[in-house]
Amino acid sequence: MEITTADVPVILQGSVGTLERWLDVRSLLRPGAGADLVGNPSLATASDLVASADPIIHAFSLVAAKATPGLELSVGAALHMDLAAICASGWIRSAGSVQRDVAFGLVARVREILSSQANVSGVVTRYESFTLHPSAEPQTVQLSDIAVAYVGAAALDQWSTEYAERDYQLKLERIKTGFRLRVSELAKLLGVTREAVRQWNAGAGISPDRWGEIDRLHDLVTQLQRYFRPEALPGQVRRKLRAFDGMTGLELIATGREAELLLRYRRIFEGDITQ
Amino acid sequence: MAAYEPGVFTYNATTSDYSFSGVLYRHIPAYSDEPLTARFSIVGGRWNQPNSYLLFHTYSSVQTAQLALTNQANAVPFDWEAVNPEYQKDLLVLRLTVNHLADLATSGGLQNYGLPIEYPIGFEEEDAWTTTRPIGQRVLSSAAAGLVTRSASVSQWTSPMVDWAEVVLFPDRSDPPLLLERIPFRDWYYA
Repeated sequence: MEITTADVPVILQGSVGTLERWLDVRSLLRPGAGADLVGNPSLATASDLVASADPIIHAFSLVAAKATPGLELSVGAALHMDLAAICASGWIRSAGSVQRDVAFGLVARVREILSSQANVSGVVTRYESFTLHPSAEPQTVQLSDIAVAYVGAAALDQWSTEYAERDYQLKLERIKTGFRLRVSELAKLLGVTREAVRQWNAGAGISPDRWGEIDRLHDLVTQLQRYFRPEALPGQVRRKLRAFDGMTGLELIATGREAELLLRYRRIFEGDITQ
Repeated sequence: MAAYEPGVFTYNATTSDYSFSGVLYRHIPAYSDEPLTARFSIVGGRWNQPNSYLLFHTYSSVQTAQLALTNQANAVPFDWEAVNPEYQKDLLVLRLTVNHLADLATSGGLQNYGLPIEYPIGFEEEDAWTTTRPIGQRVLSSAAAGLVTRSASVSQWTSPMVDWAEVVLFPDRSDPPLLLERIPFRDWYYA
């Protein structure tokens, strides 16, 4: 979703009606989303609500970053963690509007975070945040304690999954740059198609069943960069190694023999041996 | 770097072993703040199995220490210039007097341990360690303080022993060596 500076005053200063139109125009509202959580609290219904709130959280995080650069990740984390508290507060007005009400609660939290950030940092921002409060009228519905607890668990799960995905994108980047790998080389090392690597490069999510392999290669890059200068490592892993019958480091890694290679280096760099 | 008088090996015909007195050289990673520890030898090597007993490896000349480092790199291969500075090797200059070094340097000594007189020719690669490690264990089982042997990093062993020998010590069987000097990689390896 594209967020521009024009969106910032809407989110930080707009009324509830303005916000609702903004959410509608961006198709972020799903009528009925979260309704099941009221009558049938479970992890599944809570996860459904969290999934419907997730694009809203990311949109608001981007807005926050437009107002105060560098805040996207921390605002994203805070909003995920605050979902349960929002559900337990006066923001939820009716069973049919749970997701929309959560969205308003999220906006209120974004405004609080940015105000607090401005106060703490002393930085004068272009956009003053206007405080938003829930309606004083009595609520017609209140989420049960167990429903709120499920939302907390589902939100934590959602955030940790997203964070892990982001983490694996970073690890993949470290592997690529550490070994200076072409798409075909990375695909071979990870046992996937070149198309899969291209999709990851374009930002597609990395399936958890690849995380183990990525961890293995990431640990290897980290270890080898302890020994070799970063600019020398790409050349080093492509050298034919006399000690391994002329195989290169990349070939050893591709055939699962990296432990032998590491042991050899460890003996030389950290061991106490003679020839 | 300063020049040091070569050390002296003395053969004891009664015990068929060597004594040594003088300067020895040893290289350690630049990051190490334990220059005299032998614990890094736990990874195993020519004379010991991994996770067995510890050894303290030294060279009797700077040239042998240089060649050993070059050979380590050539065997894989890599260039020491490509290595992060903290893993490049400083040279330690040590003074030591030690008796009862098992003789794995002379033809007779090698034969006593079942090795050919051409040793270390044919024993350069790691697969030869299956032969040399039991010998290290045998020396440990004797009362020896360590062993003196031909460095596999040099190609001639006819000049005086101090030119090409390696001295491998069992750390608890001799007085600790005296550390005279620690020389950074760039100041000794290219000297």
